Amino acid sequence: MQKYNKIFLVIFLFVFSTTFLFISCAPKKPISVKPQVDETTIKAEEKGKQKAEEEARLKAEEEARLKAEEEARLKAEEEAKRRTEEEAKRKAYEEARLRAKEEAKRRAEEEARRMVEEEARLKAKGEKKKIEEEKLSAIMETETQPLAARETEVRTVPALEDIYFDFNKYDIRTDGREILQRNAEWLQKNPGAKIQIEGHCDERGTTEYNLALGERRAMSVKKYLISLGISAERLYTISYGEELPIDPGHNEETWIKNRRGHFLIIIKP
Amino acid sequence: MKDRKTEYRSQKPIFYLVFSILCFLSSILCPSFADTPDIYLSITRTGGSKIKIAIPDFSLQEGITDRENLSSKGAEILREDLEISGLFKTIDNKDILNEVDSKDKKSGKINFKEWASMGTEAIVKGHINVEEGKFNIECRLYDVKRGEQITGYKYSGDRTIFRQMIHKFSDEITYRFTGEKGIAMTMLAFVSKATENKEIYISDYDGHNIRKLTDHKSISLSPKWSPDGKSIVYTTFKYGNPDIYSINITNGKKTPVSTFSGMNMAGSWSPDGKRLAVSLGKDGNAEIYTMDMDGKNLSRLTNYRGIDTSPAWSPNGMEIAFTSDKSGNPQIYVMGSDGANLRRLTYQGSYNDQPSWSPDGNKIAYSSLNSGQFDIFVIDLVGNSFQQLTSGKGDNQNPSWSPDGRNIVFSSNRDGRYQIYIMKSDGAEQRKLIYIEGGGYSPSWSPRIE
Repeated sequence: MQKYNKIFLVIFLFVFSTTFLFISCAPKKPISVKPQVDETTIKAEEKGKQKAEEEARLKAEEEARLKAEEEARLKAEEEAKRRTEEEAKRKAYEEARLRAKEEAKRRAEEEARRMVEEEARLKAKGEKKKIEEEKLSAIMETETQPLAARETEVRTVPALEDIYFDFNKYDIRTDGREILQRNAEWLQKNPGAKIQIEGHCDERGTTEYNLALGERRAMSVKKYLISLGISAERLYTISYGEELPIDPGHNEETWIKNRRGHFLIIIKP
Repeated sequence: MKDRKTEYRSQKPIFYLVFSILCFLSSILCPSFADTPDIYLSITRTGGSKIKIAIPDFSLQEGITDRENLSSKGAEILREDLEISGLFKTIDNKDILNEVDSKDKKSGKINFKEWASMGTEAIVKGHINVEEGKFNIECRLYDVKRGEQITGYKYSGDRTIFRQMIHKFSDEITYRFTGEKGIAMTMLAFVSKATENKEIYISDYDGHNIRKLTDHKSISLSPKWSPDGKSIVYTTFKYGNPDIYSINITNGKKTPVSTFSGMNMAGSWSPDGKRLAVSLGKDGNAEIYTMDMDGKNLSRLTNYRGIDTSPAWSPNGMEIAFTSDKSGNPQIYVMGSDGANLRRLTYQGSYNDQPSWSPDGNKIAYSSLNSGQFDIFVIDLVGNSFQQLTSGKGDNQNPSWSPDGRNIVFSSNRDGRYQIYIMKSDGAEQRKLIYIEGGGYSPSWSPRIE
């Protein structure tokens, strides 16, 4: 019986393995192969036809290119000559300037050193110099960082005028500078007042970019007011992007009004 | 005892033989049993020709009055799903459909030859019954040529998820014919001002079942789905500053993500869902950062005194596309997800923004200011070419790809106010998907939701 047992086992293994192979190979063939074959044959035929034509074209184009390039080279060389001459002149001029400046600097620095040395002799060593450096860096930091006015109450003040921006720009225009000068004067007269600067955009452009643009506008205003002597701690900023237009229209007339920096004073806290 | 053992041994080889024959037979008769080939590919075709499928109105359990017209509604939902997939052509002559179907009903079997004469390759038959207020929908898909059932499912649930049950079967059909999971169960998020304020809304992928997700009564912007489809990040002015919050779509729970001073704008999640790429204004100008979901472990990727916004993580997680005004106006750039290897992508036009990667990572769709209005373009990163998808009246913005890469949802004001539109990824078949009072903005297509 044991002989039969082995034979049957062999038969079983054979049948099982062939069925397994059959199953695992069979179903995936049709779709995955067919379309790919068709695609490649079409491509191959087209390529053969087009090759000769393309080669002829390419030759003609290359010849034309070479000519154009030579001409361009000659022109470029002449221009380059002119430029180098001009640059040499400029450099000489600038170098002269720099020398003059450097000399002036040296003199000023020497004087400053003498002053510092004298002060140091009179007072404690080096303390004052350190303090001055720290102050400067503090101003630099607050100059560029936004200050968010969360959970505050605000109201408009007629004295603080809006300023306007060009499309997709955040630099302060000349008319804006005059307005900011007046706003700064008001702030100086009301030293207790803190204000919120709002940056706004017109409806054109994307939501995300306009939010960033409005922020840049508010920050430009803040920086300008700081340069006019207003303390950074009094200047909060926020961008509303294109979300709060003052005029809901859809033309240049309304867009001009909506690209604005707006001012509010903070009542609370 | 010995005798019994030998007896048992002597039976063993016979048992092996019978078993192996059974195995062999079953594998021939029912190949799905042994190999489980989920994908049914008997209908072979070349190129982009669509599979013709017939979906007659669903039959109803006897004794039910169809007040809501569910029998035709069910079939309609399925037809629309399969049309949106772009893989199927549904038979749209309803009279013929229902005529052949009623013949089937009379004879009690499916007359495949008659269906074949209409040119259909597959049929779906649905049956609805109601049990203790619960809906049961039985759906079966048949291969006309072979005259046999390919697959069948029974779904049951509440009246409110009637559409979802049918979407589920649509995904099953797509899977059987393409081996690729369908998108009928995906969702959209968008912004609308249907109440007085801009709030975040979600809907089914076909624009139905619109739900208001936030109630901030403030300005809420730019929703983006998490890769697991469970939550959405967005920017809200609710607390006085544009902050990023995350909201769980099932329980509505909101958690603060990024609340730095200045602008916090959500851009995109890393494909593994662990990191968020954002645009932060805390340094005085918008810079791209990545962060953990609690706003911690900040990593700054850009360092330029201008505007850097709209980061979009590539599907393989290696790169981030974003917008920068380095060149003087907004253009799209790509960098490694660590900020290295910066390169500029767009040169055409003076305003390119809102980059959105195709799911295969080969293309980036974006919005471009094109002779005074915004249009959607696609840049092919492999072929190094670009294509304009929208044109004509109005602005088109905010492209977002379907997870199968076949459709793009976007917002357009071609009919006045901004609404949500859909098109094929080559710009074909543009149509309004959602009309909502108060307009639709900033659509984001969810991933496949398990």
